Amino acid sequence: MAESNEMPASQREVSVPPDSVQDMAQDVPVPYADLKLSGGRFDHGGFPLAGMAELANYQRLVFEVARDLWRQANPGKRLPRRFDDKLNLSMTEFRAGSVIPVMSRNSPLDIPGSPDYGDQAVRYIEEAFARIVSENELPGGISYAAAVAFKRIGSSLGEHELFQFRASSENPVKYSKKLRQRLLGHDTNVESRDGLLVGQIRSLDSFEKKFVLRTPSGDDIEGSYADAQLFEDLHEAHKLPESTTLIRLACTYQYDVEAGVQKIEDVDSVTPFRIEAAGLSERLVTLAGLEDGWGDGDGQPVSLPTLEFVSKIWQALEAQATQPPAIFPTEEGGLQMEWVNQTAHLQVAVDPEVALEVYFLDTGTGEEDFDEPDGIDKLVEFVGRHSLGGRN
Amino acid sequence: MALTSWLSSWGGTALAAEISEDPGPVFEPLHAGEELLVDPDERYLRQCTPMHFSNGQVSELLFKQSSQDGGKLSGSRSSRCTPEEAYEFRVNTLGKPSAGTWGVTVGDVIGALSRVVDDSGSESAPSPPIPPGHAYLDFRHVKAKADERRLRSTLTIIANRSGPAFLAEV
Repeated sequence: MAESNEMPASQREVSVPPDSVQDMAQDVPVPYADLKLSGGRFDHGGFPLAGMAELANYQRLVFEVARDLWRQANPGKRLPRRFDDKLNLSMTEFRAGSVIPVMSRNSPLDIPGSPDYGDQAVRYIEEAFARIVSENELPGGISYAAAVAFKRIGSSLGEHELFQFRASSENPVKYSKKLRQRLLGHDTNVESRDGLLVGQIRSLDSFEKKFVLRTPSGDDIEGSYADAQLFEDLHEAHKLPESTTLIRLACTYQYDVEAGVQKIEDVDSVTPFRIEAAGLSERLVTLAGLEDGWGDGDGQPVSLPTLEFVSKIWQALEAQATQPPAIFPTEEGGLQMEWVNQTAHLQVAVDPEVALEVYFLDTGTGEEDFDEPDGIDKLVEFVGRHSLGGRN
Repeated sequence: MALTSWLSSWGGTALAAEISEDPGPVFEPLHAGEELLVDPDERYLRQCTPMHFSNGQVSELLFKQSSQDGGKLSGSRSSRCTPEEAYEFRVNTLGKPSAGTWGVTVGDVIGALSRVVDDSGSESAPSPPIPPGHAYLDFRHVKAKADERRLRSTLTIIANRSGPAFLAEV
């Protein structure tokens, strides 16, 4: 961390809502951060579940800032074991007015000879947001992961909602959606998006928590991840055979409206899947990357088991010299394989739970058939029975 | 001799009774201000989300209603709106994606045992902004899944045979 961004001199205690200590047993750790969420959904009583993301974002930010503080004091050294675990925050209660989340640490960081970087992180974050609100400036010298974590705070806030730091003080720091947009620089072409990306892991750096994702079109995208527990998933993905196995990342990425995905800022989950479907691979990969809300806004991401099953169905049909179908996603996250000619239509529907339906209609002859086959063999038999004169 | 009488005369009594008793589709009554489309050559125009158009083929999902549709699949009638106007409205006014406009004739729809109703001047019209020449393909009388499947599949064959009425530039 750069010198100009060293820990603020203020060493005041983290303020504690006055009656919260009484509500907790003596062996429960003290409340931890002086936060408050107000306005909009937070003024209607209770804590809206959709607002929980803000607390998770805050937890992530505490992790990242504490890591940066530790690295600043211990250059070149690895983080101590269970560093992140000891920074885990727990909700002990929500207080009214609007909503005050009372959090506690499960245990002190307890690194011999070192301050508690968790406590320091909380105070650093308060100072940093005071500066963001007044100067629209992130702390310099922080890691990329910490910068991303700062930018995620407030991501789910509505127009009239506030995330407040030092909430019980005389001068609370009030952070809003509008201030966040100003910080993200929404007047540029680059924006931060949450979504799905598909590809293969080309390299992985566990120390820096960075990786490179190669997309199906051959572009390499640099990425980083904050949650150390994702390393195992990424490592497994890195070892997968290249030819047929891909991964789907649920992630936050920088998107340039003219140049596409620029950088992966953080990863929420990693899911591998296999496609062995010559001739249909490109389409299936496209479908694997469909975002939540595709189409008119209600489309669900395609279920990966469904995608893999369609790949297997196609392998079986191709062996029967079947012509490639058109493949379409359903709004519920399933897939349909369809063939059509001048008078007839044949479809294979695979729902998100991999249940099958097959249907054939020939308006020329009036022939109609429907089945719910319990396996690929019966499905292949059905498709073979209803040839569409060259389309399948 | 009527068909049913002929059937009865040689023993096809049960089938004759079934035919004579088949009333055809039993539709919901029209609301005030709704207009039933009767010109068999007029087209019902429907927008296709880009993911439901692939390899030059449109999916039967083009005619699949969502839970919000309530049995009325939204489209436009060709006498009040061109395929391009219908596309422009969806993309520019509603801000929704579209691969283009596909159509089936009113005669095709009647042949598939449904109907098209212009509700643009009725109280039951969708809330604004209303697509130009708004009309709906009626699914409310279709109670059995098998009948709905047949209707969708029939219209899919026709829509693919006709090809796009207006195709968006990629």
